[in-house]
Amino acid sequence: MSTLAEFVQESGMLKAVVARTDGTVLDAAGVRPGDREVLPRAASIALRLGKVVEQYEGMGTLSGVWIQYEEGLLLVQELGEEVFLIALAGLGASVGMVRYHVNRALPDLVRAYGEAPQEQGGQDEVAFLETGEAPGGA
Amino acid sequence: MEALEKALNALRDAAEAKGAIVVGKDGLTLSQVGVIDGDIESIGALASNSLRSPQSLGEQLGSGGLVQVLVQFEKGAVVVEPLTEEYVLVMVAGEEANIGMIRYALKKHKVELISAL
Repeated sequence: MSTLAEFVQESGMLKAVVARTDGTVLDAAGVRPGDREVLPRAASIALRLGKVVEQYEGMGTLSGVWIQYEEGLLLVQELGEEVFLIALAGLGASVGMVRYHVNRALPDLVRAYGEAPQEQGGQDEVAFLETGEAPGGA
Repeated sequence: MEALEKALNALRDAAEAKGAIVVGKDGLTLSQVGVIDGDIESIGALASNSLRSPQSLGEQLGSGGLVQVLVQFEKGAVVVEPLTEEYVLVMVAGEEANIGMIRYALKKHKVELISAL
């Protein structure tokens, strides 16, 4: 099981992806093929939001974005210079609890994806997302 | 606008934020309180404009309407929340920001802000 899949399982998030800022998905868990473009898009939106304010406020670098919807909570957390975790929690998710799980898993996620993003696990799932075929070519 | 400024000040005090702005969807600032470094007009305009993408993203994710966007930085946080169809709240908090308190304060003062619009 990949680090991301473990995070999703332990945190109770609905789905999550690790993606680069250019939209390349490095790993995914709980994600349907139809979500593969939507979730990485969240990273670019978050980045845009962050850069907008960063430019004027001198508040340091962007560390994370939380987008709360009526029926869910989307978080975008920086794992490396160009790598982000994007995760979706369902209705009734507690921000504090989600934050707790993210903070707890962050060192492992950064180790797994933030430092050497192109060589890490989850490739089978990425292939599944891109081709729509199950891992192993089934 | 006095009532709006009063409500904004109450929110800022409760949230212990540096400043708060109410901006129209057209990007024009309606009211502001506190001290926010930089170009206030630009921050308000860009923040209100930046809500469009998260709104459409929520529809695609099937997560319902947008409630709040919280952007965290090394030295602070910015909260953007739609108040009505026409107006958006932008709140800037410093390094010592208590996210829980900001969210609580917003929940508590949102009705007051909306009724002052």
